[in-house]
Amino acid sequence: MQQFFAILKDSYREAVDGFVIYVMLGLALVVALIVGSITFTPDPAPRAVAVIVSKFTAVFPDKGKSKAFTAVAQHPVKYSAENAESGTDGTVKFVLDVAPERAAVVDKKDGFRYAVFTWSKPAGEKFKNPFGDGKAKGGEERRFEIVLPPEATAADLAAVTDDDMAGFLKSQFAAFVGVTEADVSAKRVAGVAEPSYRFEVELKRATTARGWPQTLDVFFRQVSLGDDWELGQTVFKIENGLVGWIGGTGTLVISVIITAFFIPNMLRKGSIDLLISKPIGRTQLLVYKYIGGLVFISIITSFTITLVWIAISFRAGYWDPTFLLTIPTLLLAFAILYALSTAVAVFTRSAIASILITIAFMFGLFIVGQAKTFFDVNRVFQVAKVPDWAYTLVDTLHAILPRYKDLDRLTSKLLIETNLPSGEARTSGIGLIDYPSWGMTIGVSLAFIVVMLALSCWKLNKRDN
Amino acid sequence: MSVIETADLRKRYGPIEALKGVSLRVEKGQIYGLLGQNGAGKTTLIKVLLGIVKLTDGRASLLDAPAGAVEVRRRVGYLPEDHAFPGYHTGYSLMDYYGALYGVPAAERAKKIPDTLELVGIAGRMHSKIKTYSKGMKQRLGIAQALMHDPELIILDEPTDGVDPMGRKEIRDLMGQLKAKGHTIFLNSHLLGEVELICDRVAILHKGVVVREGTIDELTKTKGTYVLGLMSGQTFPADAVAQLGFPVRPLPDTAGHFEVTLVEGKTIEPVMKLLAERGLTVVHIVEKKQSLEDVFMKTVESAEPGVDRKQRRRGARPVGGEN
Ligand SMILES: Nc1ncnc2c1ncn2[C@@H]1O[C@H](COP(=O)(O)OP(=O)(O)O)[C@@H](O)[C@H]1O
Ligand SMILES: [Mg+2]
Repeated sequence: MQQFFAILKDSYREAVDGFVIYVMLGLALVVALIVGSITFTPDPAPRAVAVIVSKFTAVFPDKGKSKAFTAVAQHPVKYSAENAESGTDGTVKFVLDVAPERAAVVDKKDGFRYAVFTWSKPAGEKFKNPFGDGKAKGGEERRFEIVLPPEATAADLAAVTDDDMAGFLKSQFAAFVGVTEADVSAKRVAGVAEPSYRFEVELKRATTARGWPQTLDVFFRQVSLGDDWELGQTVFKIENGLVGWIGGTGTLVISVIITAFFIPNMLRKGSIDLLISKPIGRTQLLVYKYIGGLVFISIITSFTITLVWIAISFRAGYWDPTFLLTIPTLLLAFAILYALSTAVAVFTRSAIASILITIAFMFGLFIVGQAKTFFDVNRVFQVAKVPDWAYTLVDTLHAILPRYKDLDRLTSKLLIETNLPSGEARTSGIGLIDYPSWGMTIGVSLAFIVVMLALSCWKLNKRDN
Repeated sequence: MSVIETADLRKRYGPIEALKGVSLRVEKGQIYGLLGQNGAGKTTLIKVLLGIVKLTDGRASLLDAPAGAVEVRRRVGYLPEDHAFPGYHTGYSLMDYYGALYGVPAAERAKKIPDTLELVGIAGRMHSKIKTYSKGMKQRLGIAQALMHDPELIILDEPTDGVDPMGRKEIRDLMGQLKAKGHTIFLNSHLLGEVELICDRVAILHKGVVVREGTIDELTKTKGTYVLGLMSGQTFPADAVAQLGFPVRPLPDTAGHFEVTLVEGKTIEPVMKLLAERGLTVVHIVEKKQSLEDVFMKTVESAEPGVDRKQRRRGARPVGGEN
């Protein structure tokens, strides 16, 4: 243990000796500052409600409990609430007018009653692979599910009650504003001829909820990015942008560069003899040094992510810790790359070779990840003609290589689920496609790390220094 | 118990045979010197002992453990040649790091580090980054890190490398102190004069083979050459001594001193008698020793095959110029 901490401390010293670490910490501060300079101002109620109700073409069957949604666009309905007013406590009140948008596309059904009917029924038959046979081109069956709109007779529609309608609106507002159904009240007002309807609606805690559109300003209100930015959606985009492809890749590349020097420096002629002559085995030496790099990067990552998280939560007004979970995810991605970097360093003793090969590998994983995603979609939709061997190749590569891209997809999914109101999360499509499992993703990645480290230790133990 | 023991030790680096059957034994409390030209295999021998390289054949043991055992290294201090300390450390933090690797508790390190650095004479700069140290300071730091955990055996590979003459003397004195405290010291050097001054025993390694081994006295003693000097004003009877059958030659450096070499089975007695009979007063009589350098040159040359030697002589390379 004493030796372990000594090596950690040594790695830390080595890292803080250069200037890169200060650049990184400075960058973290700048990013946190920019994020902290964002201000959200709730959009005026009429504008915001208009944005929210425009999403009502998606209906969740089973009284809103279904994970899949049904599109009821064939009977378009227009919802309007120009009179909406918000109180100081975030409560919004308005009279909601519901009317057929134009002549029904398919038949002359009452679009609103049809939507309520769809909502009230259990989820209909799931329609699998509407665009082709999932097993057509090798591999597993891909699931692409939507729920078919139910058939409704005139009697069915006539049987829809006022309570059903109110329940439907409560469910829809809750799902798209991001409040609980208890925060929504809806009451039908008599005196409007069907197929038009009128409701008195009250939403509590609405203007601060995740689905409420906001006006977005950056640099402390110096630059305005306009309105219609739903709170949760925007927080998700910022967070995902920072840890996803652009931000995540940048951070990983810098981390790979900083740490690439650790092991070649240790193995340099004149250095390694000093270490090997100490009472510590070579395997231990290497593994400790590897962990030293990880700990170091985890400190920077934790620092950056926590800082950004505080800034964004402060501005958004809600504190959801899911973003902090990206610390271990990013760290796992780094651990994969650092294991390779270590192996290259032991075999070549060159930091430059480690950096180049690791970044090339990162790019390769990116390509495989992209290809896998495309092929999985193509299996279903048959957009492009692809030979069978290409499927096999991509599937095999994906199976044996660390799941770098999958980690990113899983992280995005997690961030969608926690930041978006449930309605938006469900219509974003995350329920439609299969996601890789965390277990497999982490397992395969860990296996890769173990193999890389084992190879490195074998080589280090074998060579004469 | 022997501190270092090797038997018919061999080491190959691919086609190069660096050690060709070395058998050595170093006892506790000695300062043992391993001499040899560059490339003789001195460093390789140490690396085998410490497990830095693996032996090809034969046996080697360190403090009764097989060479390369991890735990035994806790009781050994090592100064490698051509060491490169990480430049981001200060002298102090490096000692702290290595001390921790040796398993010295933190409290003890805090006390020992300044003391040890004081001992090697760089305590004043211990909080400066190593990249600002001179070569000599780095060498002293290297010695300090080999001492701080109070090892039974201290292995020094070219310890005075890059150190100025004053510093060399200090380092020799330090070795004397360490020996007095009961440490065993094993040192590699190609600087013969130095080894002669401090070592109890030496081995001469040449091209991977031990060609001579023994105490300094044993190696440098020559059979019967005396330097004689008479009272000033008196003339040395060189011809008469030569007639007794002893080769005589005047020493050009010291006027009036003559070198008399004994012949087989005779002592210096007849010469002394002759001088006394002639009423001459001997004020200087010393049995001449050869320097270790003489021994070394002779040994190395005789160990070399004749053809090889002729080639070397004819070539532009100066004899023994590798040192
Ligand atoms: N790592 C190595 N790989 C190949 N040859 C080596 C290696 N280390 C030393 N040698 C060779 O082994 C011989 C002995 O070297 P070394 O032990 O360093 O000698 P010394 O310390 O006496 O100068 C030399 O010929 C040297 O070139
Ligand atoms: Mg050497």
